Amino acid sequence: MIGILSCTGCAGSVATTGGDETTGETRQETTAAAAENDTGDHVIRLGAVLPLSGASAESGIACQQGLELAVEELNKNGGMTMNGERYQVQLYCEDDTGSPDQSVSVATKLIEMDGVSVVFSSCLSSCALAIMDICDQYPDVLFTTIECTSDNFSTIIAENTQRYFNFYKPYYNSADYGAAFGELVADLSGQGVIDFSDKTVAYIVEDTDAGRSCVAACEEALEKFCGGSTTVATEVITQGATDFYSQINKFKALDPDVVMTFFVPLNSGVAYIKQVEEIGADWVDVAFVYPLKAGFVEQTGDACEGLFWLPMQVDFWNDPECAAFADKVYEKFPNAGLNAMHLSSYLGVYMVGEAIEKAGTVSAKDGLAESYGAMDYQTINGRYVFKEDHTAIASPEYLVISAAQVQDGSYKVVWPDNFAYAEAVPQK
Amino acid sequence: MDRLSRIILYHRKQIALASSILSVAILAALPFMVTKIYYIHVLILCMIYSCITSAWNLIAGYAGVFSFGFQALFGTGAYVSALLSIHLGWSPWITMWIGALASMCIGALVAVPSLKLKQLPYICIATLCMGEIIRLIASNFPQITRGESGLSQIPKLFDGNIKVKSYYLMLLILILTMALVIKIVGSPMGISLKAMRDSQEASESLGIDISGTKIRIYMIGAFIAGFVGAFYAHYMNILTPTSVLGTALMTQYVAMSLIGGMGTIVGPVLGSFTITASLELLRKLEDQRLIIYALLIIVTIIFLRNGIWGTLKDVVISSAEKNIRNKKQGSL
Repeated sequence: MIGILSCTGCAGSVATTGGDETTGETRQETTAAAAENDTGDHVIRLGAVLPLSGASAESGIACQQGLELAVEELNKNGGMTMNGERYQVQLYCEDDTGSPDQSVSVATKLIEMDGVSVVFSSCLSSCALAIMDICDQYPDVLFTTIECTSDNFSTIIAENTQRYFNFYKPYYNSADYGAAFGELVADLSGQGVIDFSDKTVAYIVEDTDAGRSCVAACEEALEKFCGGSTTVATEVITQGATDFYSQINKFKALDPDVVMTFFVPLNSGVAYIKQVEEIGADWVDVAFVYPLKAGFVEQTGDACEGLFWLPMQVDFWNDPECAAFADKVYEKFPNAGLNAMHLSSYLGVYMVGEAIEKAGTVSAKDGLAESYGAMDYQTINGRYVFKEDHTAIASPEYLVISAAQVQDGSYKVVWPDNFAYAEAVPQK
Repeated sequence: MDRLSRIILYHRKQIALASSILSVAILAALPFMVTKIYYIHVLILCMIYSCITSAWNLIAGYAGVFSFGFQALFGTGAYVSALLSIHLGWSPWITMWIGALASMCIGALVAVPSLKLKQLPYICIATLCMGEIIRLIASNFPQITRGESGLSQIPKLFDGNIKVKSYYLMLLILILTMALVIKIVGSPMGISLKAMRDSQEASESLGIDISGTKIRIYMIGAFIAGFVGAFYAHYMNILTPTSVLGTALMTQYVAMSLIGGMGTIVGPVLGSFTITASLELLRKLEDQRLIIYALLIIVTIIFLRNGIWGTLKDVVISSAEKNIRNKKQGSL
């Protein structure tokens, strides 16, 4: 009897304890109360669902640091403005371990328990897609992602814009990555920098939405810009894998012209590059994402010399404004693994702030979603404007996807021509 | 005290029945007492794990068959139901049953070859491998399952107030599962299971069909796990191979059963509620919560070897017996 009552006691304890919540509050009352805290100061609450542990923790922690930096800066300068009044910003970051079902639980907790008005719905496409499924249950909350690339967002939102009116993805799609890859290969081959005579390509991507959709996008782009290609192999690995000997040896036998690799974790990229050098390869490597992580060149040394990679979305080394941002990050987080996600999440907070100021509300359905979607936000790495499918426009006038090459141990933008400040050279 | 001891010792069934009714009544009333949807979500998760661990406990705790691929049955039910409802447009209310049947078939496929093995380590390895095979199949057919990218947009069971309706459905599933477990444990089959657990050779010599009984109980457990898995799919609306087929889930089932009390009816339920609720309540501790969670499991296993419920039951009953004995000796 005691044991059975203990079961229900556990249930009861879950039901009745927790934080400073009062019973009887409805979701609307919580939202209205979101702008007021116990002391009477104005507070706007932002939530973030991030992979703070697991294979993607590096990205998650970078996002968290970027968010915290922005919130601290805003609060030092008086906070966000809404209807002429200043509001302090409170940030709640929760760990979803990179698991989509955890993301849903965590997002629900942030909204229901912490009363957040905005949810930064993960930097992983699969987790953000899961959260997207519940956004219609919380019409007064704005959902926005951090650097998710899957094309599925566009497809789903385009089918039912009304249902997903409060969900936005301020980043490119995999199709944009693919287009950039296709154009890059076509231009480099046209310039004689790479040999694409056989038009054979191999891919190693991580088993994520972004990785898989990038392959399809690249194949389509090569069809368009290079008159077609032959995919000799597509290897899909678990995120965080570091053993590529099998794949590299297989590719040696297949002899592709180009090998495209897509990894988010830095260690996967470093392992691949070093193993390629160890085994020796004749193909041209084009990398996605991982070279932008701090420490890539240091860890790979000469092995990464000549590597082409995309997207060079933040030039921390040559752009003074980006370098100043990097200094800000290192000042607050001396051991930070600096990467583009620091900037994306940092800008995300400011974009939300601007939208709130223009809308005069923190409620998505009462104007915040519309205000956010109508933004034209110029910043140090481009111009954020949303399309009808709630994703950011990717083009030279908006968010440009440029390609860089590792030359003499540093990154040089070599493509597209109007952004390049160095010439592409053949890989050794 | 004497009267209480007599009630505890001689009216256990009545106490159990009254407690069960009271527990169900409290669980049924909770959504009216709780307005935070998040708490209802946590309680639903508690009930999901209660059903699965109760099913696993039937096989491991009562029959002594330690299957380490049980999560594959949960995941199979989830994926089959989700895929049928997405691709064929069938109602989730129908696909849930098909998912459960699919899990039962997979359970039979696993059970028939592996449960003929008598040695426990071989059964553990065989079932573990089967579980991994199913997870790898789900991971490596992304054209069907979308792999680790996640199968989303799964049709929901309800419109409107999804959480509360799902809560009551899950409560009904839990009640039916527990009723089935109680029925099996109290039946001749239950006695056979316990006999097999204690000594396979002795029970075989008494004419118990070891393989047949193991396979039957495994299939019953598989059906329960598959049905709950299907519910999970239509409740969470997102599936990935790791989240419903990963070995970490199996570790969780084992931990919940051990902490609650294996070989008992209430133990798995108690363990499920305790661990699930603790993990959520400890979220405020951020990184430290997983360390505390692990410590909780270690301490419980070391100091409460029969689990919380097993130890509690032993303490209460032995106290009552001691009290009665002392009373008798006193009267003599």
